Amino acid sequence: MLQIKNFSKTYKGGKKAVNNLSLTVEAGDILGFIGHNGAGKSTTIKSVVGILDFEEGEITINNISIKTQPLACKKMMAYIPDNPDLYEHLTGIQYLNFIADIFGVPAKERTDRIQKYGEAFEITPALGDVISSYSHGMKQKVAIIAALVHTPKLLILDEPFVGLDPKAAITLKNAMRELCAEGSAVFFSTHVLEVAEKLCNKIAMIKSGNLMAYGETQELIKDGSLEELFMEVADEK
Amino acid sequence: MKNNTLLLCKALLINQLKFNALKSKGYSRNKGRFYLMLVVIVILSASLMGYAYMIGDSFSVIGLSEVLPAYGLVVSSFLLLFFTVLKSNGTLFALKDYEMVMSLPVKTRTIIASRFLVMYALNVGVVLLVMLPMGIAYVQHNTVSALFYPIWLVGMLIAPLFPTTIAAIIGALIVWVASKFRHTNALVTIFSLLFLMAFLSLSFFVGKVDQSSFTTEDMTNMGGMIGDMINDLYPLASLFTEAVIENNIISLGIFVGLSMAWYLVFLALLSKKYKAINTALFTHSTRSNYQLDVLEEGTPMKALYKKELKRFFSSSVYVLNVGMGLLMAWVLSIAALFLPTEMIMEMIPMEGAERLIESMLPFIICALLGMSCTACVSLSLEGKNIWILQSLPISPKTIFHSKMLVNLTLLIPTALICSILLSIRFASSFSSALIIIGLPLMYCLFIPVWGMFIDIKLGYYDWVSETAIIKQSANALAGLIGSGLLGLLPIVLILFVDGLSLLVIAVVASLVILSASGFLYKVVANASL
Repeated sequence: MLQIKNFSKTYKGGKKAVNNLSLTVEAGDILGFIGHNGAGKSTTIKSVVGILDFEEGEITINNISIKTQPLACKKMMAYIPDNPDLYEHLTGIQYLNFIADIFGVPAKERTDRIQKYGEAFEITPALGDVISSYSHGMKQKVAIIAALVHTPKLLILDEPFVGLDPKAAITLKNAMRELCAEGSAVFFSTHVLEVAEKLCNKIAMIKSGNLMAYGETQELIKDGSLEELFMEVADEK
Repeated sequence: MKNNTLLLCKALLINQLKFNALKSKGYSRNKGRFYLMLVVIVILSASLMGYAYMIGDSFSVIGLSEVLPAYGLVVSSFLLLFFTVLKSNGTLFALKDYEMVMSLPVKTRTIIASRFLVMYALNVGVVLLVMLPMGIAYVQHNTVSALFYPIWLVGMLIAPLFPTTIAAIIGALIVWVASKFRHTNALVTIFSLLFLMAFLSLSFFVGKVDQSSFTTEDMTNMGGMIGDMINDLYPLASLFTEAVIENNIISLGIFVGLSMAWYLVFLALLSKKYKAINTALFTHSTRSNYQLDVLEEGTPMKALYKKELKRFFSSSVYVLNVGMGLLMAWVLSIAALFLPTEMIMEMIPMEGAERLIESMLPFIICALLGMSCTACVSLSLEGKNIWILQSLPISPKTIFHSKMLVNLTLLIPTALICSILLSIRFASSFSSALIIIGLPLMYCLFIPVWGMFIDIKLGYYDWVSETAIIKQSANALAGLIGSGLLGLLPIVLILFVDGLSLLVIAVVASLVILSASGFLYKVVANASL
């Protein structure tokens, strides 16, 4: 589904944010992308979703390059950033309808999906209010529903559990599992190691732009825990 | 410990004026934008200074030197009052860093003072542009003592205090009353529009008295009378006049004292209501009773267009600043339809205005339409939301189209109706009517593509206050100057080149407008986000 090959990203001034990163996310995978602040997670994610341009390496979604055919790739993806800055002057439902229009979701399907996820995240009554009146968590919920409204083949999330209440976090985890069971894939960054350990079948750890560990979760942690693996990687020079 | 007001002021100015852009090594987009902004400001300032000097010189030549101090003070105060009211919501209130600043261990009045001082500092600049050249003209035509220079300097520094506080109070009142209702932003827009219309009507009325009561010959002998009229309208002006003409330090002292006292009263009054006003602005009434019904389907273009139109009407700063040209075009056309010819000619104080009005009309409308360029800021206004457009499966071309379409939606009805009204009144033949209607419509094609081109080249998303983008950004100024120039240039040609026929100007202007629009559209259509 997602293939990142020898991807490197250097910012102006020469700082290399990501160095020669390669990893694959197959259909049905939930891959947790872990690393300390400034490790290169968001840079990688933003390059995958077509927000950041890059010069080295290749990123493909279902064998289509994000560099040469960005629209075809974006049609298969949904992205939720770490800070859900949505259109504050629109109401929640106007925003969701806007996203559904862009992805060409038929009226019946969008209504059903918004109903389903709106109830699951307990936000339906607030959908008629303007987004500027929402709390951080409510914006996050609307961003999640907007991502799910077109059943993406690849769901990409940057720190999705920040700001969510416990029930919404569980609902999101269930939605991620459900999506993967239907043949999609999920690629998300997180600092919550317990969640990654329980939820992800694959883990990738990045440190200072370099991939330090990557593979099946169980094979990586063996008899230990993800926390121990993370500390090992963090202490490695 | 450093003064908190100055610390906050410094942080606000660095953030708003993007001084840090200069610190990066080598060329950067931010640096380029900063220098371009500087060039635009220099051009605008030089024009305003030249104009102010010409007025000062003319006044002195016809023996009205004594009126100059009061006139300079009143003109700059009127300018400040007009523009600062539009700015206070966004500079003084509803700033994005409000929560962060209010959580700091500083007094509310310190926060207000810091924001007020930023407005004041920028307004001192405007006063300098008007009063400095007038002062030079005054010195050239009069014998002045050494005291004149410090008095004039103090006058320039103190002049912005009173109009800036008055503007801030009007702005605060508008925001405070509007915040009591559910649709705060819509009401802020409506109240501000009403204020601006009242202000424009008042300026017209005052100008009208001035124009009709005195001829140029009379004015030579009526310096005192005009001075009295200005001083009656604005008592602080009489104190400043006394200080300049009579080297009266006491008058200067009272002028400074009254301005400062008024500022302190303003500070004390506003600090009592500041938190309440901002809380009301940031708190939204919610119903939380939405029930999902079957949703309507639309095309991506329609979705983007609707979103863009909502963005425009949701911001009072956006509507008021960009809509100003449209409003003026409406006022001009309706006035032209109902006012007698002599009255209209009085509004255009130039030789042969009656003969030239038919040729100039389409371009006057074009210049006014050029003030309403939404496209030059609409991309930058995406701000932190830009990730949405960047990650969605829509081509940059579709996004640019939606933004230009919104600009066209605002321009075309005004261009069409206003030019029809004006052609009914002024067109001498069918072909002249076609030109009066056709040229502004053609110009409507240029404004959005020029604006979009500018915003693609100069746009930036990392802003704190949308007012900074709409009013003070390089792209807003470049958009305004570019579209304004194309409208104003033919007017200058008509004024200074004798015997130019309307048909020739119209054909040349059409060719320039269409080819420039076509070229810019090609660049825009191939640009990336």
